[in-house]
Amino acid sequence: MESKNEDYQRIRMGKIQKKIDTALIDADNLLRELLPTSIMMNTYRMIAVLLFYMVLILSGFYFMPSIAVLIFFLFLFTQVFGYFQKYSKIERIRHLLKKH
Amino acid sequence: MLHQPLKKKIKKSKNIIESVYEDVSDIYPDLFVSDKVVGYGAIELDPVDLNDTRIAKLESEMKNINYRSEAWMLESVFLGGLAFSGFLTVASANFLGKEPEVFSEFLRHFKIYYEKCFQNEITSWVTQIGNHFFRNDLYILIMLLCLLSSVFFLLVLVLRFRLNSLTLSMDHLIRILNIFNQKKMSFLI
Repeated sequence: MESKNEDYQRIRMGKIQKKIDTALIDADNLLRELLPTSIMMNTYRMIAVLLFYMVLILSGFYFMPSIAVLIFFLFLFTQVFGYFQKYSKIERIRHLLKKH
Repeated sequence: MLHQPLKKKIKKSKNIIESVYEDVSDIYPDLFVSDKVVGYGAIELDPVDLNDTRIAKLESEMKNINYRSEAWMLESVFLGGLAFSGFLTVASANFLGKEPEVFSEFLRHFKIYYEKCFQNEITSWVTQIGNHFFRNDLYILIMLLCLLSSVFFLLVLVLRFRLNSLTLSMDHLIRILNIFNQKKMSFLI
């Protein structure tokens, strides 16, 4: 009776394991399908934001060129600061994640 | 007992599908060996826990994509609307009915500016702006950029629908994974 129960549990465990393995493979494949759409969205968004920035910079010319230059340098400074923060901390963050 | 880090894989041979364990200690040299801490800050991981970390990774990636796409959607709605209203405002306030002439004038100015600056020094690209472009050119350029910007924001919104359907399927799979993983854990405990 006990061995019958053990057999049932082993079969059940095998089925569950198989289900998990299949679902993991499907999830990996689906994630791979998600990436191109996500990259495309990011690219379009980057272009749109860049164009919007250009509109803002050009709007500065409406008053005087120095305002346009000021807006441009603010944009440049923010971008450079963002990249600096990203690449100076990325190793530490990667190391933290690697632990888990 | 000492375990090597193993990865489960589905193997197909002669129409028989079976799950096998593959040693991944070469791929993940700093991944763990059960009962032993390897390297700085390493955490012990049994082969049986590999699924959990994979599920956690999938969930994190999923959340990351979801949050980002939601932020992009909000940004697209507001900035796209703003850009298009900017286009309409400039168009209605300045060139009602005269757009084709002003646009061709702008193109002509641009062509002359490009030809002159191409032959002269590099600094002329900046110094010659004031000599070749006028206020109407500025308006038409702003109009054009506003329109393009709103088109790209709209494309982001269109792509969001595709992403939405995929993320829903992914969410369903992650739920299934969590449910079955819990069932497996109840067997193991």
